[in-house]
Amino acid sequence: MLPLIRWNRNPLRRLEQSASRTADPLERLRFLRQRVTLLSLPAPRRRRLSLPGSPTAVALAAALTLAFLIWRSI
Amino acid sequence: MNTTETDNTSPLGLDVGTSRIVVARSVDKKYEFDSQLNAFLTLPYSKLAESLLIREEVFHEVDGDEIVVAGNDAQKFAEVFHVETRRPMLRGVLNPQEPHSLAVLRRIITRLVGKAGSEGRKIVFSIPAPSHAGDESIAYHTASIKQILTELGYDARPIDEGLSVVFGEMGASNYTGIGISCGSGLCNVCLAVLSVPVINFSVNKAGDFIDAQSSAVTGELATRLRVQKERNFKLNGLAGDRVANALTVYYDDMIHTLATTLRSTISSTQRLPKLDQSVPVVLSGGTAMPKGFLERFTAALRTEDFPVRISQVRVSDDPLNSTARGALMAALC
Repeated sequence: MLPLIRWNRNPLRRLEQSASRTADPLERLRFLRQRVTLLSLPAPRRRRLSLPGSPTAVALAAALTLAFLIWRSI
Repeated sequence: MNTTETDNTSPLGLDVGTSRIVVARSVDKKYEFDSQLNAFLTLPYSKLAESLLIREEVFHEVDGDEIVVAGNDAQKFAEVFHVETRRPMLRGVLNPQEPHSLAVLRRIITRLVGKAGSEGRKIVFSIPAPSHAGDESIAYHTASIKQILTELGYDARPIDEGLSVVFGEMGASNYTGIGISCGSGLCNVCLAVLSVPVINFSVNKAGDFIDAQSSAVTGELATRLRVQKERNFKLNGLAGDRVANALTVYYDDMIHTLATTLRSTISSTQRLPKLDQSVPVVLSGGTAMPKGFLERFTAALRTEDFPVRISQVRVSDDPLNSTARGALMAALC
């Protein structure tokens, strides 16, 4: 099955411009394949992937929110 | 027989073609290639014949009461004895009419790539795209090649042959364009945009079709025609030579079918991205090598409007190694 890709011109053009700045053909291919894989993912998963170390980050955010709410209630 | 790679960790690219199997490896940031003919013939076993083959370092193996000569040496024997070589593959996949197909393919692949050395060494191998009629045998073919490579210790992944050509040839256009591999069994085509395959299909008129049809009308052996075609054939119109005329007629038929199928497939694709720029077309494979092929193919494309703008049509600088190079680049990514 072909990968799903959003054929929105602007992201593709930006991607193409960034790829053109990479001189080595292999690095260019590597760059494109990494980005296109991310573009191919459905939107909710992309958002989740944009959080680095997501389980830790979510746990930390929850703990901070809880601490803030407790502090507000005192 | 040496079956161990010297550098046994770097990834490999493997072009498993109907006519030739080519391995690509990266050595000091340069690509190196090694190939074997994907063919064999059998001789009745005798001690004298075996000792002769060993002395002459011919690639062979004893199988019961037969000696199987495989790879490049099979062609030499076929020419000497005026017989046809047998083929482990037909139309891009394992030949269902050949009982030795898997065993011979295993021998040739093992000779070319050797054992992995380190477990899980990466290798990307080419597979054909389905034709418009569909081809259920591709799944079996892919699984068989993968099993051979896995048994040798590799982490094997398939890549479509047309996409391999895009990877091997289209760095300058950011891996956007149409890659065409004109091999023996099939012509594999891929339209890719920024390395993503958008259209992928095969046409089952290729080198073997030309050889078989020319053989039928001239009475020459298909093997001999193939040798003549590869050595000195020029696609420059009909002349006095009946063999050259037959080859020209069936080359034109193949080129016309390829151009027509390419045009109609792109026209009928609904989810085609809007391409701002014109795209290149690169031809590779042994069937695209004769002088005059490029001119005839370009003329066939331009007989009618083409659904995407084309910047240039060219034949690869290294048409026999282009697919293996692309597979290696995929393995190195």
